Amino acid sequence: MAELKFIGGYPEYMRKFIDIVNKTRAKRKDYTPIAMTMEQRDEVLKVHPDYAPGGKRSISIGLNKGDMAPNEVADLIEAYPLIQGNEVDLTKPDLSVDLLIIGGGLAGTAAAVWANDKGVDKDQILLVNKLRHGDANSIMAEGGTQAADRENDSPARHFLDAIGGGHFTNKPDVLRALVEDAPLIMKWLCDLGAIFDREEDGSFVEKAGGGTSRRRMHACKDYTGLEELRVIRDEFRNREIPYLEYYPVIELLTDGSRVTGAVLYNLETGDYKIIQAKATILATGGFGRLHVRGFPTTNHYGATCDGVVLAYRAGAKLRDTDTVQYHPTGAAYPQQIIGLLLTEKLRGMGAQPVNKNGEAFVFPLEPRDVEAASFIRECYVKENGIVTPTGMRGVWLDTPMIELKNGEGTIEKSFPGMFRMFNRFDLDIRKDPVLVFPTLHYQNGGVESDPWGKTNVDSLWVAGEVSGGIHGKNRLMGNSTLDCLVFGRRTGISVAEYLKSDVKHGKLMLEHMKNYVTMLKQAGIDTTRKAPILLPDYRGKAVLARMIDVF
Amino acid sequence: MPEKDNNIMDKIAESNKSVVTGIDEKDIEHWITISILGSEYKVPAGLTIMQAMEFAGYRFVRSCGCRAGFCGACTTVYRIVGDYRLKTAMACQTRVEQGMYLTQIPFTPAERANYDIDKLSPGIEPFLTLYPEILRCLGCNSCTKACPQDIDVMEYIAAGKRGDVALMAELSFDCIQWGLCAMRCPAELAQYN
Repeated sequence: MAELKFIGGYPEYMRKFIDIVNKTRAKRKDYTPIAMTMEQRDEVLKVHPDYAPGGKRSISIGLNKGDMAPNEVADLIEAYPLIQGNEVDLTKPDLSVDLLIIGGGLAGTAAAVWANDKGVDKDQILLVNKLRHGDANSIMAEGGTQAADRENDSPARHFLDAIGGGHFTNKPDVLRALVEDAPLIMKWLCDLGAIFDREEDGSFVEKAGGGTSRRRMHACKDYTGLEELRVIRDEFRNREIPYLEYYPVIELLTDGSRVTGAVLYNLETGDYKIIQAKATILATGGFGRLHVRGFPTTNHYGATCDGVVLAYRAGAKLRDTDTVQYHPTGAAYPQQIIGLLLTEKLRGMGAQPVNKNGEAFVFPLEPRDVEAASFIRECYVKENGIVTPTGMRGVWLDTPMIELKNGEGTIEKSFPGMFRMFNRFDLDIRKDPVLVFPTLHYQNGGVESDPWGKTNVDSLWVAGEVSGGIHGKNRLMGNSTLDCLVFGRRTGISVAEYLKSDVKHGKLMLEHMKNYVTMLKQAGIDTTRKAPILLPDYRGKAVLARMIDVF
Repeated sequence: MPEKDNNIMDKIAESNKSVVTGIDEKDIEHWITISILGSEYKVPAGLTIMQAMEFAGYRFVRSCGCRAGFCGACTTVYRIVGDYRLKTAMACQTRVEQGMYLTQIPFTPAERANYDIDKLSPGIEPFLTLYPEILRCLGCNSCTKACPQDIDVMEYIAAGKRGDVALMAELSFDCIQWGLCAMRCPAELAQYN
């Protein structure tokens, strides 16, 4: 095959389609397709991966027996533990603390700071991380954090937007906590020094997101999560709260009813540690790296559903396990960055989805599932997508429209991360549109909790993406960083309160895990699958085929 | 029409295979040779350094994080055979090139000062107290050259020396803390953002 000729980073044949987008831009500038009716939404959702047939099965054991979940998630729930139990010595904990926090993204780090603030001694806290402290989806959050803090807005309106986006399946009490705490969280972040985008008069720049009826998205350029985590982690370090890195939890410990600690595994040296804790906060994030239905993902390398697996074995109740969020605008070209996130803020500032004929075919800010489904329909039903050299299909996101609407220089100023990412591969998003296709973005469901993050299992709290209920079956933009911060704070405070009642350490046992194995066997689940998987495996197929274990 | 919708999902999965399930040799037409820690490997052209290392059989624990250019875990230094210049790259955001020989730097030993943010006042004092070594800056610009985010590192250090907190914050805003600025500094400035 002849080498492809590239012009401005695109093969010649794609360049011809770009010309169509460039030529139709002026005409589209003052045109926005009208938003869909509820009936039209239902129709397009038929091609959404959550609604298209197949890909799911019902969970066969435990509290959520009978609930539907993606096959990739059910596979991990119906998998055997990494340890049998007899290889770890539970009689001598390596460390006893009041509070064990599992996961050091925004939620876990915020929980540590607030617990300490409310009286838990720093040396009675331990934050454990699977990779580095801060290796999390949190730092990849680009677009912003929602908070209703303007005169024309209110937490009640924020609530209605979120519950509408979630198809009215959200758990109302936790959602109420989310929206009511949002302005307080913004104040906290600013007090810690987070630099949000500001208008000239000092007020916040606030943008719209998909499904929001008011502008309430607070952003730090397109590095919102990175900035938020930076200031909170700095505060955490200033308080000298102890933490461990490269120490994933491979099993929780219970005394038969309440969570009493965890088994940690050193990813580098292979030895284990036993931690005894009076309270445990699970903040392990989501499951993007499971690549549900073969989709690429925006997620961090460590997003492998560990928390849900561990909590479920300990008897925690899950909810909304049947839905997955696909972000409409993942990169579809070039190959090196397939699946990576193109923030919704791009559409918030005017970038339009456009098909191969140069037509704006959908309202740019439908809720994420509707928007994603409309892209799939455009590519695979209406055949109006562009096919890349690697066989992916996508539609254009007309980024130069941002400059046309907001003035030259807007992209470099407001989207330095996006501009840079494409520039590394010789693409200029100021001049040319980018090709996009939905990508696996968020675990909508998870471990159920009350408004303080408390689960049905004693001494176990959850915060952030690992939890379920807040977003129902579909999350809106800007509510995930908010979720982490609100419930990080609330779990930290709740644990501090709990510890005031003179709680004693409990016995360290793995009976719950052994019972779970018995249930698996009784359900006839005959498999070599083990969970949590901790990290995905992308090694080349040829190498894997010749892998032997001798060392 | 259930079959049809199912078929769509199959087609999507098929088109995403290379980034989801690992790369199959039979799909590859163009190959190049790179050297990882001194050992040569034949890898598909067009992959990122990270994807190429995984193709070769490496499974990351260190030196891999967000895989999207936000976390600074995959710090990599390399040369191209025949070129004296030492180059730096994020493994997840950089294409492999023929003749690239590379190593990764998974960790940077660096100092971080502790402070109480409520007791700091903007100006030059906090910098001189917390990070007095910034006065040692030689103005060589090695830090700026090492930055994968195109941050003018030397300029923000200079702003710090003048006590211009606002400019320092603005210039360093896009920092992902990958650490090579501190590693390359001949004056041993020990902090990185």
